[in-house]
Amino acid sequence: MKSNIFYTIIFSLLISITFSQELALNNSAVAKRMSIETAPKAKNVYQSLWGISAARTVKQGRVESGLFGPLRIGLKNNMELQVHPLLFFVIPNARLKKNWTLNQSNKLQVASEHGFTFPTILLNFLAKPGTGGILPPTKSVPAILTLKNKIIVSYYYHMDHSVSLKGALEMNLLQSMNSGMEEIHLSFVYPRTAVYNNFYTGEVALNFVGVFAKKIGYDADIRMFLIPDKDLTWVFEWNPKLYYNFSNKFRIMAGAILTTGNIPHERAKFRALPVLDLQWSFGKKKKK
Amino acid sequence: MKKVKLLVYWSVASLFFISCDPFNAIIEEDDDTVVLYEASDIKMAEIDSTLKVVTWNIKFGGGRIDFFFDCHGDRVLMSAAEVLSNMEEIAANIRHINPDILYVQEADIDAKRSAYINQVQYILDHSDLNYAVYASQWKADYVPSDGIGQMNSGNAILSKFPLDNAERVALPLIGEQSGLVQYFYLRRNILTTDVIVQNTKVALLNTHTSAYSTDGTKKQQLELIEKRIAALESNGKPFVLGGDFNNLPAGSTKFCEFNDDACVEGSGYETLPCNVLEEELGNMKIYDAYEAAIPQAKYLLNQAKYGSFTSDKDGFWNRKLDYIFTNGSFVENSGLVHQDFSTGGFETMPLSDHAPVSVIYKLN
Repeated sequence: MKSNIFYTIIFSLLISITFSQELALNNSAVAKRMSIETAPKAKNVYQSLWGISAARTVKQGRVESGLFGPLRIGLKNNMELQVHPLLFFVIPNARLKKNWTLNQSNKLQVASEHGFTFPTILLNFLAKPGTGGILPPTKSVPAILTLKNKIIVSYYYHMDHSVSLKGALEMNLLQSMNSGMEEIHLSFVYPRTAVYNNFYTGEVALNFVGVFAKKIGYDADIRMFLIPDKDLTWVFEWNPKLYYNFSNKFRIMAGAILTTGNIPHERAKFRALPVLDLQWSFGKKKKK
Repeated sequence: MKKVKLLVYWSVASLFFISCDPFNAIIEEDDDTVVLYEASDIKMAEIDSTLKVVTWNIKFGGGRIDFFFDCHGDRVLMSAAEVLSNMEEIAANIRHINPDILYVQEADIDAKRSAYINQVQYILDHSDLNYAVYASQWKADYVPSDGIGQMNSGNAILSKFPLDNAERVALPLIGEQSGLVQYFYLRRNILTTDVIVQNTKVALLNTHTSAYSTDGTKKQQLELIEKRIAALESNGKPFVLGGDFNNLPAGSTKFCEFNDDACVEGSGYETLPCNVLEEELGNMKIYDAYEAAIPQAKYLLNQAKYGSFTSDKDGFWNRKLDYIFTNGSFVENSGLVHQDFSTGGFETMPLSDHAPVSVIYKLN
């Protein structure tokens, strides 16, 4: 048990750190080899400031928060810290995103994201009798700690548009998969919680981010989850979102998650869920 | 470019409004409100001038496991082995009774609590019954309460003979519930179908009405059932109505405070005050208008003999909730509540919280 935990931590850290370091060190060489041009500055100033799901990070000193989305804090050295502040007390979590590209104007940019989640408190809270009892109250949820490492490679093919390829691996560090915890067989939930009953789950995604008009932006993910359960479950998700940027301080988001897959016992072949968020920024004003 | 933008905006807006019934809990909007089943092997059925009709609430194959809702225990989910073991016993009793027509309530076909085992198909494949129609009473992709999860449970009519014209007639929902509770809650119904035996077409109706309501919903449900059978009667069509009415016959000595009531106040499953129950439960007008498997006069003479429900596995059947009625005729004294080995030749107490009720219906 202990050795498994040790190997898991070492393995995931090695993958993330080594790969990321290599990318950073060789960044200039890679850029030269691929004849990467310098990306022009985005014409939409609002959109360019907001945190996005591509490789770019939120600017240093800028803080963004969504009603449902995470709090993003721009740190130095092209790093970004993400936490869900309200959920933090019941599901301690944090993610650190680092853009390893030395020249931030490069068309090709590489970032990595590393985060942990400890959902035990929330899951035990949801294992209750009566309304809101997502899990049966008869079993207590074991300690679960997951570590997720993600690589994001973005190509800014236009001043206002980018395409990114992402790959992620989430690992169950405390091996709760042996605890017989109940699974939630719903397409939106299963791929995100399957790691609690497995040693690891994988995810690959293609992401498109950009702006249509002066204040309107888009962010669309085409994502595939891969779960090494007995059915080798795959889940395909499409997550198109539209943003209306009122300013660089406030924007609204509306969209949907459309999903399909071979989730065990899931009745629907296809599901759609609307998503909505309001986002604020509390960034520092630039000194003149 | 403007058109493309409009199209994109419209698409995202449409997607946003797609899910009005995100958990697929509104059965009335389903494409197939009635599902037809057939046994894997169709067995030869002997045609007689009578039909043996049985009604049985099988408690989703839960046997005598103490579940949270009857307050004798805290169980929510069963393992596949538990369900199969219970279903084996249920099927054994069905083979023993050997009905021509079987009305089943609380049959799960795709529910997490019963390990996703299709109990209607199981009974067909483990008895002499060949055909079945099924209508959901409780269906949701996820019930976010007590960890129940995915649910599909309902009424079924199983028969040795082919069935036709199946329909699910929705009964009124409990109006006093909040919108959210009502959305995920049980949606009672009458399942109807026709069977043709010896050139006689008989309408079969199976129902499972609400346990309690304080807003008159229960009364409305019974009125709708009465209206439905009155229409059949006026058309001169023979029918057999059966099911779990969650109702006691008028004149019962007890309507409340039964010795198996384990739910305390605040549990969320406590029984209603006696005066409410007497008014709600003593409302079986059907008894006066049609022939019953257990005639009311017979019941009133020996109420203990006809009890068909108890939530206490260590107790004995203490109230009559299950009935079979017809506008035709039953073979005299053929009505039986299969309470135990001495009455029905099979120990039924370990199989469900309801005992099966059987009767022989005369064709022609």
